[in-house]
Amino acid sequence: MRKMLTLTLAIILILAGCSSNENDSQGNVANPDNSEFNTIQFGSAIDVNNSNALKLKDVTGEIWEDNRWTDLFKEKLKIDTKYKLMTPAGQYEQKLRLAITSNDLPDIFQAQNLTDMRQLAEGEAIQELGPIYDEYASPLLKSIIEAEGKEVFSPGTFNGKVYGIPVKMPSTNGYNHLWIREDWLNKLGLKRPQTIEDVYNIAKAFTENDPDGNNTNDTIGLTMNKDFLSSWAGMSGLFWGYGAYPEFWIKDTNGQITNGSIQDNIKEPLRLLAKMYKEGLVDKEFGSKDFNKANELLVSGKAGMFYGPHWFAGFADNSKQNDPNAKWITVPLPTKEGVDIKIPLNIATDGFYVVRSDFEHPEKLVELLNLYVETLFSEEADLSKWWTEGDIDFVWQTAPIYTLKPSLDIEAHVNMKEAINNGTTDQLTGIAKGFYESIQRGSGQMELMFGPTDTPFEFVASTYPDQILWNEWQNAPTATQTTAGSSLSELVYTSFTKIVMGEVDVDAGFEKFVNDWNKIGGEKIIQEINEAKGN
Amino acid sequence: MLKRKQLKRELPLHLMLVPGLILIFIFAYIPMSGIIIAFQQFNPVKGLFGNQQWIGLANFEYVFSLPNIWQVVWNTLRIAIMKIVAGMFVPIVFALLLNEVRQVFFKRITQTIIYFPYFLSWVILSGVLIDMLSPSSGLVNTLLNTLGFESVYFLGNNNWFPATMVVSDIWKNFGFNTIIYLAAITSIDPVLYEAAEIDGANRWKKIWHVTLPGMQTVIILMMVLSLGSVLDAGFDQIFNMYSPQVYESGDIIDTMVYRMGLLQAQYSASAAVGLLKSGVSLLLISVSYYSAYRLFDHRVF
Amino acid sequence: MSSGLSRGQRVFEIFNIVFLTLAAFACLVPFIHIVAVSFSNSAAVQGGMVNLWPVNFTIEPYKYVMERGEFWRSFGTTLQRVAIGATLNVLLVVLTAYPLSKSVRKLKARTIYVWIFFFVMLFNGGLIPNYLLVKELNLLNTIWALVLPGAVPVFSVILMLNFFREIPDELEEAAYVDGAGHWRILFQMYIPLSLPAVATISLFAIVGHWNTWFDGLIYMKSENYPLQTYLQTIISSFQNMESLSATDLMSLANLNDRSIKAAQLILGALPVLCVYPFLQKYFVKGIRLGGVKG
Repeated sequence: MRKMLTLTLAIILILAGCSSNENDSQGNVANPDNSEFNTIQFGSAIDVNNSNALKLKDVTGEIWEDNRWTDLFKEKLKIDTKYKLMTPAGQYEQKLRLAITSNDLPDIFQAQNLTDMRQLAEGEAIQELGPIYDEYASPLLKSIIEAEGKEVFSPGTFNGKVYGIPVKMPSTNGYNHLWIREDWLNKLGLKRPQTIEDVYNIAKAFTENDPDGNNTNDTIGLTMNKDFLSSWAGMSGLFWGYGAYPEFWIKDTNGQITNGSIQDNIKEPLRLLAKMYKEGLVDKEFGSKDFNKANELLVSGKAGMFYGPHWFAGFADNSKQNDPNAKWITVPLPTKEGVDIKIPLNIATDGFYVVRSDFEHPEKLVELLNLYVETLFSEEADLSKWWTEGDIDFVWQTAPIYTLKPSLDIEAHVNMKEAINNGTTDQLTGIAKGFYESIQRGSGQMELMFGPTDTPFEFVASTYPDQILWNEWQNAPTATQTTAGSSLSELVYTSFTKIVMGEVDVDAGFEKFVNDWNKIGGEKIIQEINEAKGN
Repeated sequence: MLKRKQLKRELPLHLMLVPGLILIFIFAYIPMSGIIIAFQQFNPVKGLFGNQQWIGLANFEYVFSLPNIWQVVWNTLRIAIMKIVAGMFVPIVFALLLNEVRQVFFKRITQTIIYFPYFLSWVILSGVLIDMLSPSSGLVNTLLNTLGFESVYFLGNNNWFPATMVVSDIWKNFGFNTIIYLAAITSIDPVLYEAAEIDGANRWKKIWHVTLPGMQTVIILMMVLSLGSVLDAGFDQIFNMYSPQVYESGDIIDTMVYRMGLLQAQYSASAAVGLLKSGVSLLLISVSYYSAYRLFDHRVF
Repeated sequence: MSSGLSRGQRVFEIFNIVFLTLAAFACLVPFIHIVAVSFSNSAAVQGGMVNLWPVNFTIEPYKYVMERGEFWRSFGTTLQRVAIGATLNVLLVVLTAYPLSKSVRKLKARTIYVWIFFFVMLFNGGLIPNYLLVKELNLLNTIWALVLPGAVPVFSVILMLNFFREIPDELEEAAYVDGAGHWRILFQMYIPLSLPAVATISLFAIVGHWNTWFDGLIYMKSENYPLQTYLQTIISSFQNMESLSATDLMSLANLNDRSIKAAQLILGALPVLCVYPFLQKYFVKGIRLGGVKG
């Protein structure tokens, strides 16, 4: 067998005219003896046709391999930026895997999938970065990356060695908020909800009392879609109000890690949703709609409430064009009486930066990041140059490497709010200034996200980081998670969808679900995770 | 002497085949060496011909140990077979009907329009279909309601989902296959029709005795080839339209494999699934090829 | 023209036309919808308020697309690909199908050849070895990476050989006696006699090259994407949402997207839709074999 393969390979090479391009890959390595410049080949999930990138190119002529950031790196660090791998996020993984199999990796690249990263580490295709980070990282860089704890490294740690530097992102993107049409509340003389009971009553009124005043029964209380358990598109905020955390790893009372989906307290929100479904307060077709489809109801002015992340503000804002009366607000997440709201979050990263094993200057990665954060997040940073260009707040993303301060959005919101209250908006600096200016320019979306009152970030600022419940397990999947993880999550969704749609009784359905979940691998995963964590 | 002459006459035929043979050897047979992945614990870092670990049939065992695998195989077969049967029948009927149209302009326009949906990907079409099939506001259900029927939740009801997949698949693709049959019809010698007319044959007789027999070889060919897709129920289509509530009836091998993350990083198991599907197709097509040969003394290809 | 028709026939004709019109309409609906979306105000689109007629008519989306260099560049790549690829396809199909259409008596190894080709339809090595091969051949990021791997469309070969077999043997024999060799017989007799079939496989080849997007994604750099790959990356169905970064997610709520995508879809499909009516003239009349024979 081996022989035959060698033979075929030989034929391939002959057919290729023996002009093997081995030299090419050698040439990628920095050329230390020749010049003072190092060319570094990067790999990053970048969408070349991203509308912001195109706008920037139109305005300033900057492109990915040649812009103010790459100039800065050239000037200060003598680094020439080249991209070896540059594909939109949706296709990046696939392209990276081809680069892995063909042994054609960039010098420094983003690894987003932990299974890929583990294979790279175990195959010694990438190098250990722990000691280098410890030695070279500036205090500012460390304070940013480790702002939410050292745990941020653990997903990229294999056999005790740190193989990647986290691409830190604001974790507050994982929040889920309750959005309401304030104009509808006023019209029907309703008060803002504080408890889940209130949410139910408002949904009922919004559905039945013709809040849009067109004398047709065409409105719906609360939107819902098939990913309803998630925070990035669904209504997990409703579950959190019961102290229930579906699809999330928590610690039980004994200090053991377990999964939120199988806890008894999930039954209550499911029972409520089943009731609302039966009474027609949520979309009867939620089971076959993704969030884009489901959100049509709110954009067209037919829905009065939805749970969703802060960036759903875009949808809410657009609804004004179809219904000029639409006024959306968010309220602090309503809870069941007596429940203290906790927000379950992942320590957010956009994957890890890793370094090819035979790249000779891994410290360059850390130096790049040091310079990056110094330029953006030090006291004297000039954000009007490095964060935005005019109204294109995209410049920060055009660097070959980037990382963000987790508290970035919160601080901007708080500073702006203070300035508005004190009448000192002309003294605003940095990102807060950017926020303020874009709201002044009329960006309804920015106002809905970051505005001073009744916005997602008002709620975030009042709960972060004190009321956060950090995910207890974010590491690379365990053996059983690899094989059974997606069946489990599928089971959660099919079972809960059936319960909500009233096809099975809540108690019986849930009991069966927990049994199945444990049987097809859940129990084993819990065991594996607790062992890995040394519990 | 005779042999040499025969050889000389055959030679150009061999020469004609050379470019095609070289190309498929390079671009199809050499890459087939990748099938070995199905028998390995493939680690991409080591490369395709690196020192991979051989694990025999373990990947196949893994695939068959997946929960619900038999339900999924059954779903796949059911949807695929319905698609094959309907997908044969509908384009033939349309080709025949189009052929009976005398208004050339109308014929051309229709022919072109029924081909349109073929150009839209399922990503796009699924959005349109979800609207059209919506129980509360969709076009189709509005129509059903005016005709006095109850609304049907086509994409959310396990009784309806497979049929919906079949019909929408036909709707997207029948225009494409119709072309093949139209080409077959136009290749029929008009002399045969003239002869039939002289014999006093009416429209039905002409279709039955001239048109259909003229299409016969192409029809048999398409039947045999379509058997190759008996395990292909249409990933793109189903992936874009199904949801957890219809997994029971709509989850097929390819979508399950996708969700199980086989495509994520488990290269070997997905190679194993691919190999199994190819094997089954080969078996079915070979059997039908030889039955056609035995029964009709006709080589399908 | 209807004078000679009986009543039954006329009823049939009317029924036939009504039925075909309905079917054509059903096929047109999604297209009309997308056209309507492409001419609509984006907030109306995002609200799902556009059906078969534009809401708040605008041509902004088209203007935006037409002004994008990326769109035209990928358009150019696709044209190049279709021109080279489809020509190569048709040539190879004809060349390959002709010998294979001969009986075993005339080409002894025929059955073996056929199965060598047929096998390719069923088995493939998967993405990785194909990528490695194209890379080793130094074809990455060239037009040949899009053209050569699929140069022999086996389905078309099999279809074509069946059409060739419909041509009576006596014709070939007669030509042979007149001193024509296989090459001349193929190009001067078989191809002119099989124009509907050649038109069919040409159409398949053109449409195939026009619509394929995955190989462009794998083999080309983003600045050289063919049209459909470019469209796919901007339409991307986000099959793994959870792996998207927060910044990507935010751009999802971006307003203008859906009308612009629709406009690009329409512009991307129009040229190839025009090819079919053009090829249709080869479908209209049957060829009088009798006449040739006589």
